[in-house]
Amino acid sequence: MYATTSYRDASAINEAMGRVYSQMGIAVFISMLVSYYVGTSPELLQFFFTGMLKWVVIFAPLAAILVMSFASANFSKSGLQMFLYAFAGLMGLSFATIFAVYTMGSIFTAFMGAGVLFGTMSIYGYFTKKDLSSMGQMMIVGLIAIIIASVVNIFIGSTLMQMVISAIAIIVFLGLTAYDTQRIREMVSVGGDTGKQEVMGALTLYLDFINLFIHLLQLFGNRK
Amino acid sequence: MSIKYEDHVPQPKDPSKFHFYVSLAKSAVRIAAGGFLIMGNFVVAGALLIAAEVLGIVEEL
Repeated sequence: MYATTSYRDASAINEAMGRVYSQMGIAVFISMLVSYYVGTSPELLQFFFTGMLKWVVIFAPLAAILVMSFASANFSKSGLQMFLYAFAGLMGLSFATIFAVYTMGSIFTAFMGAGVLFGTMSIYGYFTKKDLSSMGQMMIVGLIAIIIASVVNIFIGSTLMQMVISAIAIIVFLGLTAYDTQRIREMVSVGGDTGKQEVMGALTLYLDFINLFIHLLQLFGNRK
Repeated sequence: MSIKYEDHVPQPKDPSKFHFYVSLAKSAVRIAAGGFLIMGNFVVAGALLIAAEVLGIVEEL
């Protein structure tokens, strides 16, 4: 006897990917809304980013992601979805400081740029027949190299090196967006209930998008 | 008696120390991200990388 795996047809896969993108879109919207609301209010910025509370705000999303990552099996699909949106809210709160450091115009430009670049690479990952797993591995190695270079640069303190690191990080996250999209598409193409995989897929794409946005902002953003 | 500017505007206790601690935290977060990447947990690694960048922005405040 052989175990058989059933696969969805093309329209069912498109529907599942539609759910992934809509959950990701809602998460990005929540983050930007919270970030804008807190970041444009001097009182709220003062409240959240002074004293010990500042560290709680910065590290709270990490605690949430650790819970979500390691305890996802214990959550229902809707529970995991709620957790994704709560995480997106915390993430938005943690990077609300961008509104205090960068001009509104450059934040908007970086956001739109991230949207266009993300969309392009995600469409490529979705439709390409080429296997992107080797490229994905290469991007992960690139990311590790960036991390090492960033740590080394803390001691060197070179602005040029920081710019080069940010530029390479953008390329790496663009590659990862295509790779992740293909991986999620394969994941949801298997028959059965893939609700939880769809939420985790939305989380992965959300993180790719936010990383892309923050690095674009750091590289091209105008400081106040 | 002359009135100093510093008497009226609260000054950070030691700004260089603050930058040093933030840099240290940034490095620790990045190293942790690398660790999670090697372990294959891309979700946590991605969130840690964002946290490192957020620390960089907080440093500029």
